[in-house]
Amino acid sequence: MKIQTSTFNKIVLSILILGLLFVITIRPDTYLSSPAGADTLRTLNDFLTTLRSILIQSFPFLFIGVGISVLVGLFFKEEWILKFLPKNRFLSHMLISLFGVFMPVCECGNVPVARRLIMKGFSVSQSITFLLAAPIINPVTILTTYIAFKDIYPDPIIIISRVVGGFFIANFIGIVLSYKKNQFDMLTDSFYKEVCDPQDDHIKNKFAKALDIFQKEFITVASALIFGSIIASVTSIYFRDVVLSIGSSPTLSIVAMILFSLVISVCSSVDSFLVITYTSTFTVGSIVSYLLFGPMIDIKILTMLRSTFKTKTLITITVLVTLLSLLAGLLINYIL
Amino acid sequence: MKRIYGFLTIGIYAYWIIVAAFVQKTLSYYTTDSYYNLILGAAIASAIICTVGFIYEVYRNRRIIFKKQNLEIFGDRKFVLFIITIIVGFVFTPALLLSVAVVFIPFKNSKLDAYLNKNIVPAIFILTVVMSGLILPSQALSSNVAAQRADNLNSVTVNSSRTIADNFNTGSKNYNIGDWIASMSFNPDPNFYKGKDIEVIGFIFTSKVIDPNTQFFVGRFVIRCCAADATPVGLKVNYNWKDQFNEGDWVKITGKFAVTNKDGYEDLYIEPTNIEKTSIPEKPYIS
Repeated sequence: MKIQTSTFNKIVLSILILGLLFVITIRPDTYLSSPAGADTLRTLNDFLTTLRSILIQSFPFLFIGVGISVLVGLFFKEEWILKFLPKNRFLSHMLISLFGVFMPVCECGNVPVARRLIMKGFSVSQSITFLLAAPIINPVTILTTYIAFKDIYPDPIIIISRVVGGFFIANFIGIVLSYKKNQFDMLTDSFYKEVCDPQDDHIKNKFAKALDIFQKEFITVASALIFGSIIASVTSIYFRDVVLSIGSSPTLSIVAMILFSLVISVCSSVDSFLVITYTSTFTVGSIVSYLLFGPMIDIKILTMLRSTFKTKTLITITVLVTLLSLLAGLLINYIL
Repeated sequence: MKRIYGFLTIGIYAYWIIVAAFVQKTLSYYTTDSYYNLILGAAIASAIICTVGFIYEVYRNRRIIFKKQNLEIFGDRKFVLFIITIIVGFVFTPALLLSVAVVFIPFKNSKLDAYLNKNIVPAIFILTVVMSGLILPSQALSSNVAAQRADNLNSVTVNSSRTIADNFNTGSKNYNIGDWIASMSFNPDPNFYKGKDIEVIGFIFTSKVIDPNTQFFVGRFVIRCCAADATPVGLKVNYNWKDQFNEGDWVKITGKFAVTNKDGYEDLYIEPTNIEKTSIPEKPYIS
């Protein structure tokens, strides 16, 4: 959140005054009892329910993610990276993309962990590989994908292309970015400042340090999560159908499904259950694109990552993920 | 000092979830049974951590906080106005809008503004959203969403508790909509259901594919994880419902399945014998 407090105050103030004027002029009691008013109220309620359900559902994953981040902050020794991580950039990225196996949390829980890993000396490209791979290559996601599709497609094409494709995309992007000379250039200024001079290093008391990391990471990630879920719940209520009506031809269906996953922002562990509703109308390739793109990029995740990475970095990642998952979908459609 | 705001904010976030579960009893509007324990566990654990952290920080900073000029905040005009609007808000809800407005209106020489100008925007942002959940709890997803997503109706699989295709003659008496949808995905032949008794509870919604004057769907939402992934399921009912019911009403329907032949394909619907309004069930979604 880089908004200046005073500007932010002015924006909120003007919105509130406009809202109050609106409420006074349209006479809420008469309007709300009319059919159109009841409809508006229902839509407002649906928006709030969707938003709150995302906030409640991601709370435990956020908690686990922040908890792991506290553990990493307290006990992870920086020498371990030199000791255990391969020097070769290909091998190191591949090893990191498998970290998700030990962290069966949703993508929102991965953000605080990745932040802490950067502070502990992982390179930025390595943490990006971790962020992209962990939501797909973890036991919960693999299991739910298997359960969701086992009756629909008898051969395991979906689950294999999801795991292999996710592994490939995450490593490809990480390795490409690792050739960038100044890795810290990808981080936001405020986070870079924190990496250079971690405030909690001055706290010697372990108990106080754990509390401090918990509080700081939680606030940073939760405020970004809330901001993202507000946008996500508006789009998932209003633009869901628009996106799905783009088309179901081999190419257009892929575009539609990628936009769909961008718009709805559902956790990676359950997105396969959601998409089986569309298996009858959309191509297999588009389903694979959705399953690859969804866990890596959506509105919620982008706003959360904005607390750590510069917008330029996020655009690069998004474009690459989009192109690669599009390619994977086209490939599957071509083969079948 | 900033940490105190942090603990307070996360604490209220967690407290909201606990209140939604035990006081408002609205947790089932947001999520499924299988996540209850995980969510509540995380919320209670965070609430405890935040309480400990809050007390610890207040104790550590007691010299700074309880200084005399800091206590002058209680005489501050902005603070007093804020508290008054909050108290009025408990009786007359729109006044809470005013209390939010008060926070953002800059006052002359206000002690509170001096605090607010510190960078606690993220914390205030979280608090605004979470407090709205405490003050105005929301209802379950409405028929609007169902109507919007009805294009792919019933193509979702349901985890039915019944063993599918068990003895229909004795067993289908207390099937809910989810059980019917589950058995229909197992055996989609409409004639198999013809003449079977049905008694279900659901809400009314319509869509483009049916005639909204003589037909409606009685439906429920299927959710896997949270309300964001809700997908409607529904059974068609033939009835002139417009003058008795509104879209979104929860109804209990008793009747029989019937089949018509429309444009060469067989169309299954419910021929109701009785429709009565009911209140929303404790668990509005099925999974």
